[in-house]
Amino acid sequence: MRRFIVFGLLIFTAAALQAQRIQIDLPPSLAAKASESVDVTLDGALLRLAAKFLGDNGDERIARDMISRLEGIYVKSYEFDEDGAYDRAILDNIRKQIGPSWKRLVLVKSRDRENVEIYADMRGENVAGLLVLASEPRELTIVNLVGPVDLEKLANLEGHFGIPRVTKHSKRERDND
Amino acid sequence: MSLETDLKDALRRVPAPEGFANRVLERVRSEERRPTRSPWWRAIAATVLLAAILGGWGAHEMIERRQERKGQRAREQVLLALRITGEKVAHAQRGVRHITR
Amino acid sequence: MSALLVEEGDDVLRRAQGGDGDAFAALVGDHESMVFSIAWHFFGDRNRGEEIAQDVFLQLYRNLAKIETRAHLVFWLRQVTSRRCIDEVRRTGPRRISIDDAGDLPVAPAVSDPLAARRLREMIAALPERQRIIVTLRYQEDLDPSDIGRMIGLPVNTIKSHLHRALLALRKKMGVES
Repeated sequence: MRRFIVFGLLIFTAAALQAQRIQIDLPPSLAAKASESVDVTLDGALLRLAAKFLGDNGDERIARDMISRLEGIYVKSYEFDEDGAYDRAILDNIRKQIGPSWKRLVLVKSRDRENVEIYADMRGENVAGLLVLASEPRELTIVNLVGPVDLEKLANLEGHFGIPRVTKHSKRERDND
Repeated sequence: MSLETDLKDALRRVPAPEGFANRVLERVRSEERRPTRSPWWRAIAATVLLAAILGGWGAHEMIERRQERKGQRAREQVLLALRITGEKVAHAQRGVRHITR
Repeated sequence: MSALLVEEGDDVLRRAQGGDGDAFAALVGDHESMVFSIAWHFFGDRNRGEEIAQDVFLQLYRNLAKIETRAHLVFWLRQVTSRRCIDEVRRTGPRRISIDDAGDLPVAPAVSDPLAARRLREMIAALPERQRIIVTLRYQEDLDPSDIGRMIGLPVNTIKSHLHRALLALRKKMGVES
């Protein structure tokens, strides 16, 4: 009997920790309308393959660490030549998928510049997934990281991967990179 | 008659050309007849068999090169995805810092 | 529409999604007039209209699983046809249409003044592509600006503005011609 209880608990825990993938279903014509588009779909197998090809130094080492426990990376990003090229209802459809375990970490709104929302799939104190929704009049970006995400490392990516360092970090923080 | 009435008149639906549905179904059937892409492992098995027949080492190298190209592409996509994610997170942080100053 | 008819419509869709070729043929038959008419009115060219309409139904065949209801199917067909028309113009540019092509058409339902109607269609086919598709969806399909906006992914005020400019342009052309 005890064996069944333990087994049941393990299944429950596994299910509870199973990260939720957000379905980023966008109309195919959106890519056709975009002046630039990015579509990244990397499941666990491709991430493990990518890790073998990432280098040991600098940005590539950071990338390899960040993806080491991820189960998937999904990015769709479009830039358009004019305002209003996409329907904001797309973002509502994404938000509808956010389950009770998700918590909104950040909401930055601006009338004429970029709005950014960041959600984390929290399982106790652990982050099991991340969703980023960024929208401006001529750009739409949706990012879903599935699996354990190191929020602190993510927050310190300025100055890496070609991201301009604008925020003033202490010298100690910079030396630790 | 107003322009709007004229437009409704001029833009009434018309029947599709005769035989239209049959031509669509013919295209659907010819698409179904086209050979489907084999699973990736069949491509690899076929390559290995060819190598055995030709008695060359080339097939092994071919598989490795294909895997390398796939791995390099996945690596580039990871870096791109992290760059985009990092940019958006950085933007959000700047927004929060601006408010809390 | 009665509940029974709605169920029948959805039943045909489900059977088509299950691989029933006759059911898919029925869906084509039910909607070919709508799809072909949007494309024909957009290009003013029968051959191009048929090409686009065939492509739309082929795309439907590949995406049947995504269609939820009969109403969704109608929305999807209008949306994909509209976007294919605009994409085609952007890809290939406008083709020269001879008066003979415009005339070589299936017989349209009787209208009050067929020559005036044909002239008006030619003027519509000469509008910028956004205005053209908006006018077609508004007057052929009797859609209101908010529906059109959802369909082609533009804000309703933008749709109204395009519609207003299109009607002004058409009135001006008709005024000059008369």
